[in-house]
Amino acid sequence: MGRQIIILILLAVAGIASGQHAFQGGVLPGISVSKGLGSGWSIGLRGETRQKLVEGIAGEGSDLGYAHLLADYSLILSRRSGLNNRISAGYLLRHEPEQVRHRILQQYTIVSQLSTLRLAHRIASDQTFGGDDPLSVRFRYRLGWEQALRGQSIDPGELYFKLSNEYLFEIEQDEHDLEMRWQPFLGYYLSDNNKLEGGLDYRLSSLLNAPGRSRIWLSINWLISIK
Amino acid sequence: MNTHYLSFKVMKSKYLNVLFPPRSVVFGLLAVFTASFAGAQIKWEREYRIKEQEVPDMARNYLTALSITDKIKWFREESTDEISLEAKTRMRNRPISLEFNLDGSLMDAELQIHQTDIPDKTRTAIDTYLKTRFEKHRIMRVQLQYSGDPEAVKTMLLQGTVQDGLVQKFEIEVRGRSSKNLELWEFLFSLEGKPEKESRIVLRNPDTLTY
Repeated sequence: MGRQIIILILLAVAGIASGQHAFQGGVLPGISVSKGLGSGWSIGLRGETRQKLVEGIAGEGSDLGYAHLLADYSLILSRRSGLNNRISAGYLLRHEPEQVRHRILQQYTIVSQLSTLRLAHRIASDQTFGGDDPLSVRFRYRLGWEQALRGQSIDPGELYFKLSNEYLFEIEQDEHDLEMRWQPFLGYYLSDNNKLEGGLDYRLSSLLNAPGRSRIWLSINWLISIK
Repeated sequence: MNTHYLSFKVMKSKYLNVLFPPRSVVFGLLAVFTASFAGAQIKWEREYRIKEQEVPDMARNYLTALSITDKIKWFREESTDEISLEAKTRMRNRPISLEFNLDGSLMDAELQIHQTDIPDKTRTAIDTYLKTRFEKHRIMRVQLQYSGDPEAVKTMLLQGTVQDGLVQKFEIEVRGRSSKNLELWEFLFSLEGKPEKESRIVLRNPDTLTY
């Protein structure tokens, strides 16, 4: 695993160094609302918008300018399949300025509670269609690590740190590509039902088709659960 | 020309919508915020790391007498019922936690042991009871809990000998399935395997890691 990560980082560095590496940055605010339905079932709603503030090509300068890129609205139904395992399926509506796309998603998550931290593995796949773009199928794996910044467990009124690393393999028509994501977040645990998180969402795409593309978003999330 | 004008209008309107969302959106968000607090738990618990200097001498001296060589982590635990201090470390390569009152007097010591360390007779009694409670169960963690006379607890931890005033119990974490519900439970059994206390462990919502 460590070797593959080093190869991916080298590919990324090579892509950036090639001089044609495109980049984009902005803000990515999101809100998630979840509700338990009993018998291990739960439903989650999420809304997220992507706002671009800067873009350019490495070595050739950048342009500042605001643009609303897209808004995602998703509905996910989950069922607990073990003490810490969850199987989910859902639908996402992507509203872009020129088109609307649809995404069907499936995921399986395993959360391990260790003595001072929580680790989560998420294996997922999704299929995006509609609009002018061809069908896109992705297979994803994400490792998440969450740690209390005070004490052993995260209690109400405390801060926590979260780091996620995700790999996405995408197939679109005859082409395929790989994307890597890193998300360091600082969270504030207001209560069991309310959490606020902020941090960076760095996405390095076109890893197999250099020059690559970097996108970095200032992400702010509000997570609500209704009992 | 017209196309440019139109796209500028669309962009301007979206920009304004982000800065000044419609009143319905604001009220919607407020309603969700209120609803999410309405279900908040009344029971309040928290624990946080403290420095060794903040621990009363009596508790620190107790640890010193145990000749623990591993690093000791101190925590303060606060709940609606009580406030206590807890030392977490390892003794003879096994995790151990010692809980103290705020004045530094010992409440109990919990030493993690293997399932096979439970005497056969007690293990059979515990297993028989768990079979009546669950359709299917699995023991996840066993701790031997020592309480009573602090000196007797110390003798047990250092020499493994039982003195008058020592109270020994087993704290067992169990993953149990009953009526299609799979839950995590904590049981307290007497030395003879008689159930004395049980509580369901509520696992923290994993939403921060799964969304």
